[in-house]
Amino acid sequence: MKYIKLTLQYMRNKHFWKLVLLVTVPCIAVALFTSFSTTANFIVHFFEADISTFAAVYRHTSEVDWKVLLGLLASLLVFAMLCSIFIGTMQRHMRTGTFAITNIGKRINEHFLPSLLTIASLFALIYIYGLSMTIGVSFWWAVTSNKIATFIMTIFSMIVMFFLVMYIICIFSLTCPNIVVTGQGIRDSVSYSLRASHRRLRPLFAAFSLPIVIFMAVQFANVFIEVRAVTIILDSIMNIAICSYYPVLIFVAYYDINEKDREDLLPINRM
Amino acid sequence: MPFKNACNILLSRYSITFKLIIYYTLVVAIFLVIAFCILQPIWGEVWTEITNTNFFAHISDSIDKFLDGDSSYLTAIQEASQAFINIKEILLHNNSKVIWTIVTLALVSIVAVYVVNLSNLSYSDIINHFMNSNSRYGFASNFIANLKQSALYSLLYMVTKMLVNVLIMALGAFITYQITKLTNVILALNVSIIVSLVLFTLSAFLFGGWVPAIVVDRIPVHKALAAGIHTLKKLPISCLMSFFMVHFIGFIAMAAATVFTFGFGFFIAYPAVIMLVKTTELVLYYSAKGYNYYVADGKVVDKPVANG
Repeated sequence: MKYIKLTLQYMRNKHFWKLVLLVTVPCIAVALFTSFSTTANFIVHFFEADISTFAAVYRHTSEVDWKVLLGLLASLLVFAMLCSIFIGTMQRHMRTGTFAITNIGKRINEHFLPSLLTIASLFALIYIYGLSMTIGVSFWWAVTSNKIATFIMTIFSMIVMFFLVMYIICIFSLTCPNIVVTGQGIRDSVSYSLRASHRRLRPLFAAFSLPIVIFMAVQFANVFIEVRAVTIILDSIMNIAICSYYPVLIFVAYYDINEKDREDLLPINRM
Repeated sequence: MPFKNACNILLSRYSITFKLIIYYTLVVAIFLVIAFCILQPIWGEVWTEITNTNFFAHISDSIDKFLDGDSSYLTAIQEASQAFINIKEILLHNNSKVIWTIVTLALVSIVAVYVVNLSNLSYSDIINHFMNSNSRYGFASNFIANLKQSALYSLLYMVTKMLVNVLIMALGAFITYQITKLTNVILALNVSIIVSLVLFTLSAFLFGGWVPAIVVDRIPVHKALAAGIHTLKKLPISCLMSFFMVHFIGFIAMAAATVFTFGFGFFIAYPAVIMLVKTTELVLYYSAKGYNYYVADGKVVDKPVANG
């Protein structure tokens, strides 16, 4: 819980709303165009769905469409740019204690590639999660040929896969801050991240997985509500929360694990 | 001495063994799945034809009858051999598919060997960190830190050492085949094992300094082979004796583990033998250079003596 506390502590500072404002518009746009409730939808409507072939299941668990892929590429670029401004400003705030969204071109120039890398690997991980869920469903369907047993085993394998994916995200999470703060190369940073994250694996894991659990709960709620306006509002709130939570979390965790002094905090507030 | 110290070091850092075994198993599993996915559509229909000849049913039937003491197991074996002739005909009908299978398996296994060998450098680097500063380095982080050199090393390793290994094994098989024609099988096997062990020892002496030169002195991969030979030739007797010991023990361990577990133990024995070889190479390299090294927590070999 330590990193959740530290993250919320940073989010309570008086300038943070500017950063939230930065990601608001694209997050609402994402909520308007697409929804992340495909998995929840699949689980809720499992017994009516056609799960006889691999392709049929894959259509339920992942959205594969040229429009979606084009949107993904566009959102990748937009979010990478915004994220580089976000983390550049935040990193300067933590390092020097002054907060100002200035030098936008310089921030994009410096932090675009690490942000792009992080976001692209997250997207890839989400697609791999969908693929592995599909493999799980097809496998259990081929073995048991029974919808109830397939359902139970799917839930079980989903939970196992969730823990695995969260673990992978945790151990690679310190790569981006290490590149941004120290300027090391990508291989050294990944290597550092794998070594350093094991020191505080449990609080990192809690801080990474708890918001995702809330996010999934909201997605299930969306499926049951079925009112478009409400789901869009809920989705955009969740998107904004997630987009402003995780960048702060990785930097706070990085500063804490490295035992670096954070200048944005008064000495009395340093945990 | 080098062999004893290598065993000592390996026992001090034994947790790394499990990680390497997990890595090997994962790679083998992934490539088996890939090969299965490629071959399944090609072989789906032919495989049902093959099972329809009841070959496997006859084989298991004959084993059951043999274990029960039923004397009619011989007829079951005859039926099985009749079914085997049918299978031969089916394969001859589909010879293009057989060729495709062989090509696919060869390609997949070459890629698999490449990926497996990526771990050699990081393993040696972890042991190197332990030997020079008694520090513990994680496998995954070291694997990624060394990935650029490993990629090149693994490629060069395949076209040099792997090729030499395959040639030696082919020579061993050839010797066995030729001597079996003259005398009996046991003698032929003994001769071919001794000859291939000697050849393996010589090739290990040639290639043994390669990885240590990369990880200890940080020499670029393509120059490190020459540097390694240059270093190891200061201790020829000690190197040859140690490598012969390692290969002999490794051969016995692999053979025993493979035979007594019906092939499964190979996956555990092979990484262990590779680790013993790599650790011995490092110890010999340190001895030839005259460096001090840790063999356990708080135990340093001060003046490395190298005599067998």
